[in-house]
Amino acid sequence: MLCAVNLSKSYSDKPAVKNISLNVESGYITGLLGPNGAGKSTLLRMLNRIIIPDSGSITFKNKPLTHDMVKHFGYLPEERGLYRKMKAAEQVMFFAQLKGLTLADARKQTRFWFERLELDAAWNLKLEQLSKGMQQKVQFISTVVHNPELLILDEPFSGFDPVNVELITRELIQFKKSGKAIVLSTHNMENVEALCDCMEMIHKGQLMVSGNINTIRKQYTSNSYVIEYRGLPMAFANALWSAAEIVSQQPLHEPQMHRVTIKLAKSQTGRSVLNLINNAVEITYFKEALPTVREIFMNQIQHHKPLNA
Amino acid sequence: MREIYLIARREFKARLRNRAFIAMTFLSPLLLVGFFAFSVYMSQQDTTEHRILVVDDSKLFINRIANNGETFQFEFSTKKLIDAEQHFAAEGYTALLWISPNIIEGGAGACKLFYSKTPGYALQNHIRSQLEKIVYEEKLLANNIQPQIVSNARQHIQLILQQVGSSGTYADQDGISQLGFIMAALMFIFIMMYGMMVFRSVLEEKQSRIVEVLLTSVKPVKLLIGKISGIALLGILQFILMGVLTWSLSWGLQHSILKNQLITYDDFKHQQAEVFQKGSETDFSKLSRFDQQLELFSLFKKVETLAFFEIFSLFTLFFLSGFLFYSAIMSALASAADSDADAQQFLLPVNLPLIASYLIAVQGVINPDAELYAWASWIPFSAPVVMVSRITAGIPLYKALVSWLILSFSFLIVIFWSARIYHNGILNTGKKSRWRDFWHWSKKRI
Repeated sequence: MLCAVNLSKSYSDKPAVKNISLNVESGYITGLLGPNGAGKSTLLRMLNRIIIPDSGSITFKNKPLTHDMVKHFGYLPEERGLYRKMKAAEQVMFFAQLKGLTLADARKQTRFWFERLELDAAWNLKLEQLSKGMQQKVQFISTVVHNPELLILDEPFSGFDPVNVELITRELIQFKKSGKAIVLSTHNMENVEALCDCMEMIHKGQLMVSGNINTIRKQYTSNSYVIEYRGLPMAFANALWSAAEIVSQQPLHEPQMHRVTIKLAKSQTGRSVLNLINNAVEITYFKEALPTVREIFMNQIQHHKPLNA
Repeated sequence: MREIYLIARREFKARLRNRAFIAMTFLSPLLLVGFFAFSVYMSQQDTTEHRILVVDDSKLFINRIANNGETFQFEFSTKKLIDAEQHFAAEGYTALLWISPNIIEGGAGACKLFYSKTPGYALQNHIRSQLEKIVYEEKLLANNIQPQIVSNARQHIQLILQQVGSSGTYADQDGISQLGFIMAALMFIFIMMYGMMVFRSVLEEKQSRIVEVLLTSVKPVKLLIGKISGIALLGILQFILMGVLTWSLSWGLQHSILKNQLITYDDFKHQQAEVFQKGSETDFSKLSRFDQQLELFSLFKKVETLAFFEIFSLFTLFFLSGFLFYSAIMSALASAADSDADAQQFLLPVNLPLIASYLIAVQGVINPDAELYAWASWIPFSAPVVMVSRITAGIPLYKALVSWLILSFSFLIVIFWSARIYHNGILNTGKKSRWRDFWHWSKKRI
C-alpha cells in the first residue's frame, strides 16, 4: 500500500534519516522501533508529507504520494495537540471536515466514535475541562474519524492508563481486521510483540532490522530450547552430557517438576537432544526459545550493523 | 478553497466568542459617544440657581453685572467684606463676590469669590466675562472711546480652509486634519492588535503541536491564508459593528440632548449664508448673536464636513491590506519562535516600522508638505498608518487607491515568502532559530 524507497533527510547537514526503505501492507501492523533520536518521528513526518525528504521516493497504491492522498491517512503525532479552548466534538468535526468529510458525515462519525469510546459526556465540553485520558481519546478519535486507509501512530499508548491501552489495542486490531494498514512507532517492545506483524528497527537514522517479526525472531535464534520435565536433575544433566549446555534451571511447583533452558552444541539439533533426554526423564514441554523483540533490539543497539551498510 | 474556509471559520468562531472581543466591540462606541454626550451635557447642565452677593469696593460694577436668567442672580451690598463674608450663607446667598478697589489697575487678587455651594464652570465663566467686559468698557471710556462703537466694529471671523483638489473638487480642511492623529493611532492599534492575534495563534499551534496534524490535511500556504483571513474577517465585522453602533448612538444623541443645539446651529448656518449672499447690504442689527455657541458650532461643522463613508471605507481597506501585510510577516516570525522569549525578540523588527510610521504620521499632520510624509504613504510598511492620516486632510481618492494597491500587491509577495518560512519554521522545535535560518527557509521549496 505505502512504499518508501531510500528516504533520506538531514537537518543543517546532520543526517536524521539515511536511505531507509519500507513497505506497509493492508491488513498488517508495522512497528517502528528505535531509541530516542533514532529518526522515527522524522520518518513518520515524511510518510505524512509534513516534511519533504531530501532524496528518495514514496508511493501510495503504486502512485507517487501527493498531498491529497495524505487525506486518506490518519496521523497521531507523538506530542499530542488539540485546541484547549475548543469543544471536544466541535474539534473532532473540524479535523474530519479538513480530511474531506461533509459536515453531516463528520457529525455522524463523531457521534459514532464518541459513543464507542464512551465519551458522550464530553461532547460539549472544552478540551481543557477533560481529564488527560479523555483528551487522549479525543485525539485518537480525531485520527480515525475519517475512516483512513492507513494509520500512522507515533507512540499511541503514551499517557494512557492500562484500561485505555486495552481499549485502543482492541480498536487497532479491529482496524487491522478490516484491511487497514497501520504503522506505529513505540518504545514499548511488548506492544510490538503483541500487536505487530512486521517491524522496522531504526538506529541513528539507519534501518537495522526489517521484516516479519516471527521470521526475524527465528533469524536471531541462538539455538536454545525451553524444556519442562519430571524426574531427577542429575539424570537430566547426565543424559545431555556434551550435547547441550544448561543455561538456567528452576524447580516448578509440582513435585520433581523442573524447567530448564538449554543451549545446544553446534553439531546438535532439537530432535537429537530430545532423543537423548527422553529416556532419562519424562518430558512435558519442549520448545525452541526464540529471542524477544527486546533482546533483538538491545543486540542491535550494541552492535549497530545497518542493513544497507 | 474548502480548507481555507474551514480554517478561517475556526479562527473566526474561536475569537468571536471571546469576551474581550465582545466587550471591545460594544463598549468602545458606547464609551466614545457616551464621553462626547457627557461633555456636551455637562457643559449645558450647570443650571443650579445661584444668588451671588456682590461687595464692590471699586464702585465700578454696581448694578452693571448682568443676571443670567434666573440661574445666576447678582445682588449688590454696601456691607463691609468681613460682615458680608460672615453672613452671606445664612442670608441664602450661594456665593460672595468681592471686587477690590484697584481692579482697574489689575493684579492678582483683584476680585475674589467666596462660596458655600461649589460654583460650576459656567458661573465662573459668566462672572469672569462680565467683569472683563465692564473693565474693558471702563478703559475705553477713560480714553474717550464709546464702547458701543468698538462693539459694532468687532466681528468674529471664522477661518475656513479649502484646498482645490486635483479632481477639481473642494475638500474641507476646517481643522479636521487633527483627526489624522486619531486615524493613524487607531490604525496602529488595530494592526498591532489583530497582528498579535495571528502571531499568538501560530505560536499556540506550534507549541501545542496541533500544526503537525493540520499539515497532514492542509498545505502551509492555505493554512496561513485561512488563519489570516479568518482574523481579518473578524476585524471587518468588528469595524462594521462598531461603525453601526457609533452611528446609531450618534443619531440618538442628535435627537435627544443635542436637539436644541442643532436647531440653533441650523439658524446660525442660514444666517451665515444670508450674510455671504447679501454682503454689506445685510441688516446687521437684525442678526442674532451666537458668540457663546461658536465653539460648539465649530465642532458640529467639523463633524458635518467629514466624508464619513469615504473615510470609513478607505480606513477599512487600508486596515485590511495593512493587517494582511503585517500578519503575514508576523506569522512567519511566530513560526520560528520556540518560546515566548523568542517571540518577543522576533516581534521587535515588526514593531519598529509600525511605531516609525505613527511618528511620521504625527509629524505629517503638523507639516503636511514634508517629503518623508509623502514617501511613507507609498511604502507598504508605513502606508497603512501614514495614508489614513492623510485621508481626512482631503488627499485625492486615486492617490489613496494607488497606495492601497501597492500595499495589497506587497502582501501577495510577502505571503508566499512567509509561507515558506512558516512551513520550515513551524516544525523547527527544540532548537533556537537564528535570523539566518529565515534566509535558508525562504529559499526552500514547499
